[in-house]
Amino acid sequence: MSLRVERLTPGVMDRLVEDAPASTALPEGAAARLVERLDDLARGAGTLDAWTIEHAGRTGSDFVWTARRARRRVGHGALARVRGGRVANVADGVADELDDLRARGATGQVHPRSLAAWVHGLDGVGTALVAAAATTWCAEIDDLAGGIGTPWRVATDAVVRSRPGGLVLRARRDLVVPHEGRSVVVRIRSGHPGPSAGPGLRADLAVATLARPDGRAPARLIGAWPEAGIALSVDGDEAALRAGARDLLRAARRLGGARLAA
Amino acid sequence: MIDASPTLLSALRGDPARRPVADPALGAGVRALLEDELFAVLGDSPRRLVVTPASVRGIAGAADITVGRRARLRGALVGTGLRVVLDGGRPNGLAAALWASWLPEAPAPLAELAADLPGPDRQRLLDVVDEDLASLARVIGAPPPSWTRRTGARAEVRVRAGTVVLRDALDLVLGSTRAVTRDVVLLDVVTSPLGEGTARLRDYHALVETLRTGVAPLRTAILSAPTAEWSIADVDFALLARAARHVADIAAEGGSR
Repeated sequence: MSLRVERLTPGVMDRLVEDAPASTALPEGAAARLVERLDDLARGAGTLDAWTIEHAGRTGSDFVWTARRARRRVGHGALARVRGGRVANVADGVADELDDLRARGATGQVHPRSLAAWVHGLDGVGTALVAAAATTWCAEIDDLAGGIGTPWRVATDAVVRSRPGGLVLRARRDLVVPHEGRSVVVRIRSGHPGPSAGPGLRADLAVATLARPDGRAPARLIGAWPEAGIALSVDGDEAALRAGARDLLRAARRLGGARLAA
Repeated sequence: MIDASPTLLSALRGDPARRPVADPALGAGVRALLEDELFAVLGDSPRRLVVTPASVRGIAGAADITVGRRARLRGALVGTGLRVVLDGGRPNGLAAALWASWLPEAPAPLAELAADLPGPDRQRLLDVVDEDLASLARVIGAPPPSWTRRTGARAEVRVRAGTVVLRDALDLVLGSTRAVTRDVVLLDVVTSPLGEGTARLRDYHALVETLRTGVAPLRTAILSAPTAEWSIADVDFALLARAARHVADIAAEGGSR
């Protein structure tokens, strides 16, 4: 379960992928039982993710789109276009992604708080700031993942819903690197890793495992903090999964307790 | 220091065929050198300190009094405006639009400063930012879309077992650390004239980038938006050692100068 700390120097990401160990699979039925228990403890709708674990069960305040918050979604869309050969470079990918979002927003058939609706309402300067933030995000990924020898893909978040209108578990994933029948998941973070970064990564590992139909954990989950030049990683072994599940249960209990008190 | 011409980005990038090969050992060597310099001035003291661009320039601590709220907002708006200019936006009258787009996501201290700024002061600030951006747009040039580009890049590197924190913010970083040759160039836009403090800051940027990525950048530059002058330095071991010594000097004085 040990947390490995590395400096993000050239070649480190490739090594972290290459030497990822074999991963663990949950016993049959264990995933469903855990999700059910989390839903019971949380007492209703809500989201549990690494953020809530790292912030002792607190939930975030009202969400408002900003260029910084939009960069990841727009950047991932742009990178998928580049890697799919649909555009020549990141700048074109970002421009096309923003055009698509604007067009979707213009239909009026999107949620008013969606990214598409927000982008549709931006002026030229606002759009340029989103483009710059997304381009920067893509450059971070390019620097990180460009050195990985194994083919990788941009990933969407892993999401588990306990039931309609119930608890949502979310694991952020930025890249997935399939490697010799296993998968290594990479998550990119801002700033410097804090003391709760390890529990956050283990929660992501547990949710990513719960989201898999076969209950198999990622071989390794890497949290990369490019601004600090640091990577932390946890292996998908039984001890890390247990620790991740324990933290999720604790956060669900806090969420449910806060609901009772309200 | 040279007068700016319309080719700042091309001067920064230079001739790709003449770039030196990246030395993968240099980052570790520079880190060891900085640790030694810090040990020489701090010894075994458990004292913690944070080094920032302001302390490197010698304006930390005095920021609220001598630099003033308008200067802080001006710097933030010019840095944000650079992103729009690089995206092909026209600088004319950009400041007012920037104010509206940037304010909702400005860091809390700056947002508070902005909210407290009286109307006439705000208009004067926006006029100055427009002038800065017009001057900047004349000299910066347009990066080709194929260049890897980061804007508003922040860094926070810890050394000496985490007790010394080096914080940095760059307006523009071009190039990739995974190239075989040294490919990365750094640019910081300041709203003051160039001087000794900005030269130290220019070198500090290279030091932090080297510590962060393990790869030394190719060049580091500072552009003064109001005067359209720039200062570029090729990054070598001597420059990084000078920057490390300067960080140790700041540490010896307690983190601010």
